[in-house]
Parts: sequence; structure tokens; C-alpha cells
Amino acid sequence: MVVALAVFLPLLGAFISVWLSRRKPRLSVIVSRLFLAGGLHSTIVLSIKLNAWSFSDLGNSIILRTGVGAPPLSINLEATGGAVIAAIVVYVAAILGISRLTSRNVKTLPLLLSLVTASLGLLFATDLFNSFVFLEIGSIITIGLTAACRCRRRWEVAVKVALVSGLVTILYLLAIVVIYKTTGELRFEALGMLHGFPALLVSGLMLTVIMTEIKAFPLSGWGLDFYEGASPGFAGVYSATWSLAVLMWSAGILPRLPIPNLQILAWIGAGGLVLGQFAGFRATSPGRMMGYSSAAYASILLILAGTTTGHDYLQLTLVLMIFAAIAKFTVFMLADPENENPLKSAAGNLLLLPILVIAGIPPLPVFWAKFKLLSILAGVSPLMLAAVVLGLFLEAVYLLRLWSKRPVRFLKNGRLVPAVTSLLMAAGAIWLTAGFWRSLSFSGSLLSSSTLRILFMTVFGAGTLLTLPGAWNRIKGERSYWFWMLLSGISLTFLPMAGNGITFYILWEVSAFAAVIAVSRGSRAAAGTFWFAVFAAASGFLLLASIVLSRSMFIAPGIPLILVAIAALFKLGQMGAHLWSVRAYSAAPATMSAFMAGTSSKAAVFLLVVAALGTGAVAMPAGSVLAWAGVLTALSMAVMAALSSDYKKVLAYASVSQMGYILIGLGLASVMGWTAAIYHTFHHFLFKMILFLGAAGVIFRTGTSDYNRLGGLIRRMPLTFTFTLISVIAFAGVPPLAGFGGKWFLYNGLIETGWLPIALIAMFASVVAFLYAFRLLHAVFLGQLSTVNARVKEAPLALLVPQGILTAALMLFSFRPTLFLEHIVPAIESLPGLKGVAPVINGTIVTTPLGNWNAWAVGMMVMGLFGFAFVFYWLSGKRPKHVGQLDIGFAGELPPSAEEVHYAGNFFKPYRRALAFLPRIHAGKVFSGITEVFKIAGDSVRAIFTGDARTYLAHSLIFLVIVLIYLRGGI
Amino acid sequence: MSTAFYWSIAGTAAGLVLVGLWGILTRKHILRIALAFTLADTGVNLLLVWSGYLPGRTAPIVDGTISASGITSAVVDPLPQAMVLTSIVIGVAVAALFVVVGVLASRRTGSADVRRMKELRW
Repeated sequence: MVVALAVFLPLLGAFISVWLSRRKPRLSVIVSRLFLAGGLHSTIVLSIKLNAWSFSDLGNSIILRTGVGAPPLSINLEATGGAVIAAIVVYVAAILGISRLTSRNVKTLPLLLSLVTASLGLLFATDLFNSFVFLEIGSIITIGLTAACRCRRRWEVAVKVALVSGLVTILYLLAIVVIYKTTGELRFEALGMLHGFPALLVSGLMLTVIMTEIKAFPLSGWGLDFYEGASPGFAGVYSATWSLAVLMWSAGILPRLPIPNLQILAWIGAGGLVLGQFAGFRATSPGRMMGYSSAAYASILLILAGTTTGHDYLQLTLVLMIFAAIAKFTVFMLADPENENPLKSAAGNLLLLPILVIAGIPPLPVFWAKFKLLSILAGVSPLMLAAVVLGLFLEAVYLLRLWSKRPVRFLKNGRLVPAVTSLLMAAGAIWLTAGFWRSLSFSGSLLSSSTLRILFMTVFGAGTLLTLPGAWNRIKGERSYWFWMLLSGISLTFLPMAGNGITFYILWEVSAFAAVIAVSRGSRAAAGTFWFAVFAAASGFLLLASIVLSRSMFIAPGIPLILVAIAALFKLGQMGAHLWSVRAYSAAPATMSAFMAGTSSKAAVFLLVVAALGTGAVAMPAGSVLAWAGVLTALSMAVMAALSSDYKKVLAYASVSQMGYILIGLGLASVMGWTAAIYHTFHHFLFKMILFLGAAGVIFRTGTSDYNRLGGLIRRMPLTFTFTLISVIAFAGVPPLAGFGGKWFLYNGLIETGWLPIALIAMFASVVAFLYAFRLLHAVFLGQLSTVNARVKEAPLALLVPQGILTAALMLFSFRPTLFLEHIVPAIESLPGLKGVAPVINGTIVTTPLGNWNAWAVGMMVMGLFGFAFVFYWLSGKRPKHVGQLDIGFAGELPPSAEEVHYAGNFFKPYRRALAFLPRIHAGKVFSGITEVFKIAGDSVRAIFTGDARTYLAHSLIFLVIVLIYLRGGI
Repeated sequence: MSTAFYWSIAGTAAGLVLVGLWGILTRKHILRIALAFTLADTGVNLLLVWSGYLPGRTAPIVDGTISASGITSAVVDPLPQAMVLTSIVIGVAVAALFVVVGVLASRRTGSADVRRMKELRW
């Protein structure tokens, strides 16, 4: 009875609303809502009866018998747990979508209600002919509702949908004839009774029908055109009602197809996923991107049907399909109906959640299903896993582009619906995460050394806390980002506590995508966010692939380790990946840059350390490759930093360059090398945070990060200058401050291992580091004060206090490095697999085979000498003469621009000229080359979607012929 | 009814489907495509009726000529006949809708040529 109510209440409502909508349009909307609410209530009652919410016995069912007798004589509706949950989604989408769909044309109301009935009928159908009836009703309503909007291209879409569903009808009826003729039955079970030629024919026909209906690549052409051309309101309702029902129905049929080896479905799906998403990569219209994303989910359904069975299959299909449907519905509901180009004015914030849900970012619901699917695929075939990961990555790229390129204009009305669905998705995330909670582990067992664990946690935690106060000092154009920074920081802080791969991955991704959001809220964010998001997604998927390939271990040796190394290099911005970091650091809100460069970049160091230790292969895959990558990056980025004239860009390049030294240290795989790496990791955190927080203060007060518009700020911002000066000395690597120690250990390690060429290049790079460090001080703080900045104030306390704390720590560890080393060195010594000798700590003296380092004595001597020189200078009575910034003679000519006469402009011009003979490898060109290849691949794939409806029909028929030939084993 | 006739019905039906499919793929005028669809649909419906036909039996109507007890061995399968009615009705509805959409679409584009309805592609 409840089943009947659930299915047929909307139909009754439809009949009433046909009559009512002409007379009392408003009343008819209310009455329709009541009917839908009644139906929703019935489905919820059903779901509770079936105990469907535990997601554990989705196969339970209640059967509604119609007509006389038992099957096969009667027609039945069977409400299984999974179908009931999907039905609830259908109802919710219909109730939420009703006002949007009927706002212009209330006569569409009966169609919407009938669509709900058709969807539920299809979800609960148990025999093939019944399904046929519901499929036809659904197609007719789809055509009707497509044509009922006021979109310009509605007729074209309607014609295409009509043509394709006509063909599907014919093929489906042919399959029914064969099945009935052979078995005398039409229940789904009849499919299993087929043998020989009928089985082959039915498999081919049904597979073509299903793939066309669910819009799986390559039969997705009509679906793409539909999502692009239909009104966003209807496309949204369609995706969460009819499309969802068809997917769930197909999920019921696919495993029953009489194909000897169902794995072929997975291969069709995996191939379709990669090719389809290459094409999707090229999509420009938001609706079309959603269409390609639908095709991705259809392919995933095929993969699931080919690789999983039973309980896993039910659970995974349900979670993937319902949450993707809700997310897609939300995206479409955000679209502006007045706008030809549907999503152009979508609400940015509300848009993000559904996009991340579809892309499968943890801990959102779809992620859990994708993670499980990938784990299963890792056991089936690495090639299939690679294809799926690549496909999912491409999908994430265009979804992120959809999000990052949107103009920030909010949809005026109708934010309620997306808000409600967002709540549903969030609830789903919490529900599923709670369900999977036991598979997470926070034992910290990934890194055996508790000292190192505490060190990394300190870096992450302190970095977050110290940058947080500055997040309230926003410059014009920046939107509030402290929450996302805090979220990113918290998940980073817990990263060292992760006890298994999935926990690590979740914390890693949450931290990365929270950072992406924070960066997107900067004033110049448009340029940086997209590339940041792409690299974050790339390193995330590489990490995910290597985790699922490693099974029970965290990271297994071999391919997984290589994938992780690449992921870490991306994250560190090495080997050309500085493309994202330089753009993101300079685009991000100022304090966020400090957080990213100083704190979150260390997550990649942590990953490398953990992966190297966990695999037992402390000798990283060709450690020398790592070291060479590090040293070349260190040098080239130092040169870039010296030649750049933007405060934040210089720091960004410098930051990437410094990460290179850490890589060299790790690549050495000796105690000395690792000591250098860990030492540098910690101290780089200290001085890079100071530098970026100083930059944040300067930018906050002056509003610019351009060297040509700064200068002379020492008089206005003396404290910021002092802190910056100290950290510049520290990272330039001159004694007595901390940077020296890192370099000393590094050169020790390099000489010990005998990597002299690397040592030489590293030394040269640190000379270049001195150049940009000096230029930074000179351009920003020294020289003449610009008149524009004549009245700026010292940086706010929220930035100064953290800098003070960090500087104090820096000074402490500079003069007494043994305080730090006496904990770290034994911890590194105890790590398994590291070769070479350890530095010996004796009081304040550190001894290595190459000599002694007494930081305290050296520090005191240097301070004494500087003090003596300063006193001498003071007593000499000579004082500098102050001149204005533009007080420069120009030999009778008029200078072309004020910047030409600014001493900071083109500061290292001679070096630029001197280096001109070197071949220039632009990372930007490399990556745009890769993008170009992807584009060409995408264009050649999508060329098959010609737009001519008959091509789509031909696709289905050609596919049918190929499948039949394949199943027959040849012609 | 002879076996030859039995198979010739199947042949005709299959022929109609093939002609219909050929028409769908090769015609450009939208109404001709609609016609081709109707042809293929008719073929499929014929096939559906054919699938329930059992040689040497009579129509599944209970009247004086057949006894209720021996009915299952005396009449043809009634189920396909019930199904084909549904299928025909749905076919008519789809064909009508298709023609309406086609006519309106051709008014919009100024041509009934489906090749000109490909603004949406790739």
C-alpha cells in the first residue's frame, strides 16, 4: 500500500493539477507540493521499514503485487532499500525544483508530477515490459519539458531527444521480443535464462539501450546537447529525478546481462571515462561540462558493474549516483534563468560544495565510494586504475575551471534551494564519514620517530596559529579567508598523527582544498587559483593512486613510491611546478602566502620523509635524481627571484628555491643529508614566515607589492625592517644566523657522499640567494621613501607579534643550534636505512668529519665585530645625505617613465644581460605544451559529437554492431 | 497457417525495422525521419505479435468454441497481444509528439533539414 502511494500519489496530483492549473495556478502549485510531500512521506516510511539508512542491507525489499497470482503472471513493483533512497532524492528534487520549473509556465506542473511517477515506477519496476512503459513515459515528458522552456535552442534539443529515444524504443522492444520468444518470461530474471545466440543478441541490444539512456561515452552526444541546451531549471530537476532513476534501473539490469565475462563492461567504462573526459576538458559552457560529468558517472556505473558484485555494488552505485545527482541539481539550481549562458552568474560560494562533491574530494560523500572503487580496481588491473584516475583528474580540472572562472555575482533569488541541498550533501558527508570512521587511524604509526612527528606538528600548528591573527587585516578586494586557512592548518596539524593511507589522504586533501578556497578569496586570485587547484588535484590523485596501489602498506616501493615522489614535487613546486606556487603565493591574500610558503609546503617534505621510511627504501628512487631536481630548481628559482621585481613573487621564487635544498638533503639518504633537510625544514619555516608576514604588513599598509613603488620604508616601519633583516641574514646562509647551519650540514653531506658537482651548483645558488635577499632589503626598506608612502604606519600588531615570536625563536636557535640538534640528530640516527656518520654534539659544539661548528662562539665574534664597526662609524660623525626619490639627474633627456629612474627598477640588469646566452626553459611553456596536447586530444575525441542528431543514432547502431561482433568472438 | 507464412511475417517485420532504421539514418527531412520511425515501430510491433503466435491455435477469446479447461493448449499466447496494444498506443503518442516538435523546430530554423539543427555540438 505504501509502495502504491509512493508511486501513484504524484500521478493523482498530476491529473488534479491539469484541471486546477488553468483555473487557480497558485493553488495548483500548493496542491502539487502537498501530493509530492505525501509521496515523500510514504517513501520515508518505506525506507525506515526497510532499514535502508544503515546502507548495509540495501537488497531488502517490499513487493507490491498487482493483478492476480504470483510472478510471472502478475506485474509487481518491488521497493528495494537502494531504490527507496533514490526515490527520496527524486521527491526532494521535485519539491525543491517545482517553483523554479513552474515560475514561468504553470502548465508544466502535471508533466513534473508525472515525471516523478515515471521515475519511481522505473526505480521499482521488476519486469522488462513494465520498464518499457515507464521509459517511454519518461522520454515523452522529457521532450515535453525541454520544449516548454523559453530557451533559444529548446527545439533543437527536443528533436535530438525525440530521435534518440525513438531509436532506443525500437532496440529495446527488439530485445523484449527475443527475450519473450526464448524464455516466455519478462521478469529481469529472464535475462539469466538466455543462452547462445539469443543471449548474445539481447546483451548487445540491452547494452546499447542502457548506454544510450545513461549517456555513457561514446553514446553521450545527445545528453551533452541536452544539458547544454535545456533550461537550467529543467536540466537540474531532470538530473536528480529521471536521470537518477534511469541510472539506478540500469544498475539493476547491467549485472544480469548474459555476458560471459562482465569485466568487458568495466573496460568499456574505463575507456569511455578517459576519452570522454578528454573531450570534457575542452567544454566551455557550464551545462555541457555538467553533461560530460554525467557521462563520467555513467562510465563509472559500467566500471562498477564490471568489477564489483553484491553488497559492494549496491552500496557504491547508490552513494555515487544519489550524491552526484544532488550535486548536479544544486549546480543547475544556481544558474540564472534570465541568462542565456546558464551558470555565468552563479553564486560562487554555494557553487563550490557541489563541484567538490562531484569531483570526489574527501570527506564528501562521493569520495568514500570513489576510494573504495579505486581500491577494488587496484586489485583488478593497474591499467584500468590508471585510466580511471586520469579520467577523474580531467573531470576535476574542468569542474574546478567552472568554479574558478565564474564572475562573482550572486543569483538574487532562489538561494534557498541550493542551501537545502548543500545541507543534504553535508549531512551525507557526516553520515558516511561516521560510517567509515573505524577505517581511519590516528595512531601516528606512519612515522615511527615521535621526535620528528612532534617537530612537524609543531611547525604546522605554530604556523597556523601565528598566521591566523593577520588574516583579519585584509586589504581592499580580499574576502574573509581565516576559516579556510584555519581548516587547512588544523588538518595539516593532524597530518603527522595519521596512522594509515586513507587518513593521510583525507587530511592532505582537506588541507589542500581549504587552501585553494582561501587563495581564491584574494584580491588578485583569478590568475592563481585555477593552477593551484589543478596541481592540488594532480598531486592528490597521484597520492590516491599510490595509496590504493599499496594496499595494506602506506606506500609500497616501486611505482607507488615514484607516484608519491611526483606528488610531493608538485606540492613543493619543484621542476617546473613552481608555475602554480609562484602564481598562487602572489595571488593569495598576504597572510595566506605566509601560511602556504612557510607552513603547508612542509607537508610535502613530511610526505617524502614518511614515504622514504615506510618503503624501507630510504635511498629514494634514484636519490641523485631527486638531488639534481632540487639543485637545479634551487639555482633557477634563485635567478628568477633575483630578476623579479614583485615583493611577493620574489619571496615565492625564493621559497621554491629553498625547498630545493631540502630535496638535496633528502636525496642524499645519509644521516648528514637528512639532518640538513630537517634542520632546513624547521628554519625555513621560521624565516619564511617572518618574511611573508613582513611582506603582508608592507602590502597591508602601502597596498602594493611592486618594488618600483616601495623603498625607504625603514623609517616608517622599523620593526618590520628589523625582523626582515634578521630573517634575510638567516636565509642568505651567512653566519652567525640559522641558515648557515643548514648549508653546513648539506655541504658536509654532499662532500661525504662525493656529489661535488651538486655541491658546487648549490654554493653558486646560495650566492644568487644573497643577490635577491639584498635586493629585497634594498628595494623595500632602504633608499629613498616614495612620497606616496610618506605617511604609512608601522605594520599592525597582529602581524608584528607573530614576527617577533618567530624572530625570537630564530635568534635562539641561531646561537644555540644544539638545543634543536640534540633532539633531532639522535632521532634521525635511529631511523632505519640511513648511511653515513652523524654529527656529534658536545655542549655547544657540533662536530662532523670536516670540522667543528661552535655557533655560540662564532655568533659572539660576529656580533662583537659588527658592534665594533658600528661604534667606529658612529664616532666618525659622517651621516648620509637624504635626497628625494626622483632627485636624479638624467643627462638632459626626459626619462620615459618614473620607473626608469627608480633605482629598484631592473636592478640586476647587468646579470640579466650576462645570463642571456643561456638557453631559457620556460616551465610555463612546458605546461602549456602539455595543455595543448590535452586540448588536441580533447578536440579529436569530441569531433565525433557533430551536433547532427543522426550521428548520435549512428553511434548507437555502430556500437551495437561492434558489441555483437565482439560477443560473437569475431565475424 | 503454414510455417512459410509464419516465417514470412517475421521476415516482413524485420524488413520493416531495417527499412525504418535505414530511413532514420539517411533521410534529412524531419518528417521523413518521423515516417521512418513509424515504419520501424510498426515492424517491431508486428514482431511482438509474432512472438506470441503459436502455429495451429486460435484467438485467445473464451467463447463457445473452446473449453475453459483446455484453454492453455488451444489459444495463442495472449500476453504479447496485450503488450502490443500498449506499445502501439505509446508509439502513436511518441510519433505525434515527434511531429509537433519537428514542425516547430523547422519553423524556428526555417528549414526541415536536420543537418541544420546542430548549433549544439562538441
